[in-house]
Amino acid sequence: MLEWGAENGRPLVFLHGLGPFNAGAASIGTVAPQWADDGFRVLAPNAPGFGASPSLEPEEYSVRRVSELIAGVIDELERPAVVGFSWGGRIALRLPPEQVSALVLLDIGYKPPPEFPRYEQLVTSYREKWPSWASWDAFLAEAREFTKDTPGTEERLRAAMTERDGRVVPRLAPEIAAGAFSWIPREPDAEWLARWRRTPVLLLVATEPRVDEASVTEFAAALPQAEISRVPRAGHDVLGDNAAVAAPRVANFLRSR
Amino acid sequence: MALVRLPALLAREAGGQREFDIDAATLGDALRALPVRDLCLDERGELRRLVNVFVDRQDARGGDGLDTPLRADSEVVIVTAIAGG
Repeated sequence: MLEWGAENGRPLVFLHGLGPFNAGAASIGTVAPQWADDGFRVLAPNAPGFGASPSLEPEEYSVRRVSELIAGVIDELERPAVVGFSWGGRIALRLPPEQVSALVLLDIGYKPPPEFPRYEQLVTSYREKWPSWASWDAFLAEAREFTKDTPGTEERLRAAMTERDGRVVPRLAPEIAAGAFSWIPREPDAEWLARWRRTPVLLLVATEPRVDEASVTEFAAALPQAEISRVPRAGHDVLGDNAAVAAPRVANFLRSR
Repeated sequence: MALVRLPALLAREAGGQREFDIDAATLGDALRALPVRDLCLDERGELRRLVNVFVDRQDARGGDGLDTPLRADSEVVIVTAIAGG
């Protein structure tokens, strides 16, 4: 787990997303100090298989199972605020609401999840085609074609990768990615939303591309007390693409609740 | 005609156009018809490592890949793999 801020700060737990290029807890390395300056004690656990956290067996990567493990972290804190990005937001939705003072969902929870093939098919494909590069320069040069040049981008990219057998590869094992992705379509979020009706909730929504408004409307109907805010010039990675807007919105929302 | 949606970064390279209606039998045919095909496909004609594609909400990379068949009303969504999810 990574931590930022004073120990007596209001606890804010960040739950990261999923993917071979996700740096886990380190993905908020640029934003977390800003939240710490705002008075939060920021804690970012690495989910199993990310960072130094031991992996689970691939079949154990249901969102619910990972959420149970994270609940053990939440339990040690005094009703923290929880901020979840993508997969991390889905994990957050399955936490016990009575243990959470406020919930922030970063571009998740309002649309049905994509479909992924079964684990066996995914892991075969991922093992055959798991990305690798001959050098850090080669990886970063290609990665820059597909990322916005925002503060902390290179640090996040580097934190997601490692060297193995002379190649630059994702830290995340293909088996873990396959396990987690294969569970996604089996666990829709809609049935979990109503549990949060008595909790302050902020949903930050991507704008590039502009999202399906019907899905956002459904989310608003399920959680009428929720604030919904669209982050300009931001794709799915709202914090990475526009931290200048998204990070203060999170802090301002949490400060008032 | 399948509808192909680009992420903002690729749309910028396509003159700002984010959606394309493409008459194609397979995903590979559709990607090869795009003005940003070189950002989607590598020199061997395979899907680039940092691009994920969903056909009708299904991850094409873990399925039939570029051979994924397209229907007339298929939706192809291209996302950059970097963002994760």
